[in-house]
Amino acid sequence: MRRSRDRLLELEWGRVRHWLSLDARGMALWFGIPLVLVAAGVHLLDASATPRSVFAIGAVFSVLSALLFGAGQAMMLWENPFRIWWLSMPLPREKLLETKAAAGLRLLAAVSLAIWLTCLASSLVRQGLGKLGPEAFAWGTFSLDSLAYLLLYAALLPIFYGIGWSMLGMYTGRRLWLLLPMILAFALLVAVLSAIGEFSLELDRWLQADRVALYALAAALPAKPSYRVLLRFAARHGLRDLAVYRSGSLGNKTQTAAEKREQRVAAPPGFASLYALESSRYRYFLGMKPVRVIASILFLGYAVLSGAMSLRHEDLIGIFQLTLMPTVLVPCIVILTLNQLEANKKRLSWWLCFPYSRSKLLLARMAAVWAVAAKLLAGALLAYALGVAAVRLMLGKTEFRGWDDMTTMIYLLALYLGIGVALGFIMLGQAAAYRSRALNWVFVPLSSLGYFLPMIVTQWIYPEQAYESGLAPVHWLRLALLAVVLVPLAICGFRLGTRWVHLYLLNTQEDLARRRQSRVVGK
Amino acid sequence: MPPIRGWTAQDFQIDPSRPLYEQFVEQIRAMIARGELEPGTRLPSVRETAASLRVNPTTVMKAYQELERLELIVTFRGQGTFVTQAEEAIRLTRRQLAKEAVRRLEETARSIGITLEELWELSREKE
Amino acid sequence: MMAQASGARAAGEKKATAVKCDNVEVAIKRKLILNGISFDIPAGSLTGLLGPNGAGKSTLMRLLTGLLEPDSGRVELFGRPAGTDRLGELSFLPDRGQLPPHLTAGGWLDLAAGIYPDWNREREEELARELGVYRDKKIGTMSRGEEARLQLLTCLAREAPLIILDEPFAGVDMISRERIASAVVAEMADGQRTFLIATHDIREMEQLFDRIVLIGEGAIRGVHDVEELRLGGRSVESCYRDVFS
Repeated sequence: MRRSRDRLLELEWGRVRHWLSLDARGMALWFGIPLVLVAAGVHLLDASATPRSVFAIGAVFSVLSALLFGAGQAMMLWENPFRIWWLSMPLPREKLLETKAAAGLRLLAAVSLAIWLTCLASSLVRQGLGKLGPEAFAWGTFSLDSLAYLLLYAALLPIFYGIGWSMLGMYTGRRLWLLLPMILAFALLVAVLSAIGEFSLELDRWLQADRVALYALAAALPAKPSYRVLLRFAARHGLRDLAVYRSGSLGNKTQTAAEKREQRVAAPPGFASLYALESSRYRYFLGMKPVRVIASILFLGYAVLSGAMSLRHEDLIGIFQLTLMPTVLVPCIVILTLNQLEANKKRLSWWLCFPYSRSKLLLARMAAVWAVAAKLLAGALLAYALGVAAVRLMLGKTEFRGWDDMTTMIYLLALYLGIGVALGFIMLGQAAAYRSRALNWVFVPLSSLGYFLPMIVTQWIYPEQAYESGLAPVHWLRLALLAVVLVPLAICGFRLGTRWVHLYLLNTQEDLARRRQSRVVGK
Repeated sequence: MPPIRGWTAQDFQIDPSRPLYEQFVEQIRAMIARGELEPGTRLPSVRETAASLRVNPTTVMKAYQELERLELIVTFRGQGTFVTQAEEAIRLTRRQLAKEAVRRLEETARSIGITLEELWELSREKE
Repeated sequence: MMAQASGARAAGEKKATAVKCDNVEVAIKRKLILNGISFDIPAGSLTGLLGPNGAGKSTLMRLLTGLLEPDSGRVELFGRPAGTDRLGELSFLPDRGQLPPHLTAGGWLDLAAGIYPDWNREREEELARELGVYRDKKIGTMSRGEEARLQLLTCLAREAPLIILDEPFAGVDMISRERIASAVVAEMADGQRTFLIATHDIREMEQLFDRIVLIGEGAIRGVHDVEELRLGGRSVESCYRDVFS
């Protein structure tokens, strides 16, 4: 029993260990990204970002990565081809899941450590370059801080990883509602992230080494039991659902009227059907019950939040900007994930063999995802408007300044959507990285750059001071300049995409695993 | 309308290391000779036969051509393919089959060193 | 009717080759997958592409569809170079491929009718009956055999002159296999279409083939006319054994 568990741990570890290997991708991940981050920190962080608050931001990132990685593993499990083999191993269900989680936790420990080291390096480099004043940096407090935060990172990791995994048990029935606190926790973490960014003495007191050590202790005590309980929850409910699950069989169990209709309606010929095929996927996905629940909660929460934020002008614009951000990044991520997933599931061959040019195929894919994004964004903006209007009705006042704010919002909309679409096209070119590994050095930092977008926007294109002074011609000029840079890049990315998208076929998870294996054997 | 004879794959015993069309010719010929396929029976088209037997249509076509050459089946344009009504042709076939059978028997007899008549006598001897 | 069909066949034999590979080489990640591949397939024939796992069959088929390009050598369809611009002329069933699981069979077929310019709705209806495909069933809940039949239906409801099937029987139950084989045969009876089928089910399929192309470790190990093999007293299976064991 003991032995078989050890072997299983070995197996599970083997499945994640490759993330630690220092090949071209590993180098880009483990050195490229931290380097970009440190460099970005030098340029983007001002003196108000103390080493302490950088560590605190790192803590949130570490926690977020644990949460997302756990949730991601739980989600991926549904489509894992090895799933049934795994489920039929003769071990208690909890042990089965614990072993998988143990392997993931090892990897996360490395990630967390890397985040901590990046924060450490960032502050040291900024100190070395004289970007930090003497009041912001002293060797004594710095070393105490770094140690206290290291403890905090370690203590929080299992808890949040467990929370992530517990989503495995929230797939059907009433347990679906447990997703609600999950989403709130996630939103809270993101909110904390932006709160820490703004320096205040009040806040700084909460982030000092002695307090942090206390948090670490408070987290460390329940860490192990809560990790256990969360995993047990996931094992008890999730593994049963997992055994029943079949790919694509979820969602609206009852057929819609359209599906039942006997009479056949051919889709309009040509590009329109390609588009219809693409958008059917999102229609199906958005029709699934868990998704509908989550979306309604998000829209509702968003309306409430917008209302609450409408009392300060800065916040009013700030939250508007926050809405736009996912619109920029998510479609891009969806398309990249889709291509990879479709290749893994052997659906890509069908798609690539449709008698259309690659550019039409990719355009249909882009158009469909952006149409959905536009629809969701419209919903979010409606929620925003309703929230603000409701507050105005109740309190008789908001900080909404009519036409001036409208133009600002239109500007921001154009800015973010433009960047999003351009980024989407640029990232299509990532397929070419399968052809030449060196391109990873372009695309991996580029994709991580996406996450700095808000900072880049406020730093160089539309600083927060402009919230009050309103739009100036210089802002439009910057937008035009940005277009001059991004449009050729987008065309380039698109061309690379049409040329090399078929390489996904040769680089499915299966292929990669096989090649990795043959390399290991080769050594 | 004459009866239609449909085939299933189970109607034929096929040896994959001999030309297929020959075997179909042999076996259909035997069916006609022993009256299992009655004169005037309509045969399924090449396409239907190929699909139900799961063999290459060329094979079926060659078999039909050969049977036509032997005058055991006839094709009327626009109506289909039928087992011949000419009793003379069927009788000829029966005679050929009988001759072939006797020849094989003769070979067997020769292989154990006796004549056909002796073989016959021998087999009828009481224990 | 038979005379017409045989006329078409005779014409088919005179037609130029449907597929021609000339000294084709492909390397993936510096590993030679196909090495000096040369063969051709006459139009109107049904050719089996046979070989053990990992022989390069799927790579070869991807070359024909234009999804991959050869590193050297030439691939031609009906006398012109293969490529993604030729996808309208061929119907391809990928190995272990899957259709969008969130759609019903009918939903997929309606979309496919729009996507493929050469779709034939009457044929679709006929094939759905022959193959036993039910329109209101969701693809994600189909058995392997049901989905395989739907995929074949998708290939055959088109009027493309070249049909390439990569392992149409893998993991498919016996009854589905028989229905698929019957549909393929019925489809080629008029001699207008050319089939290339990669398969491991030699016993099931050998009565279907006109020709076989044997491929092993990235090289052609033989091209045979099946009837000629049989005249020499060999079956496809024995020929396969001689070459590969």
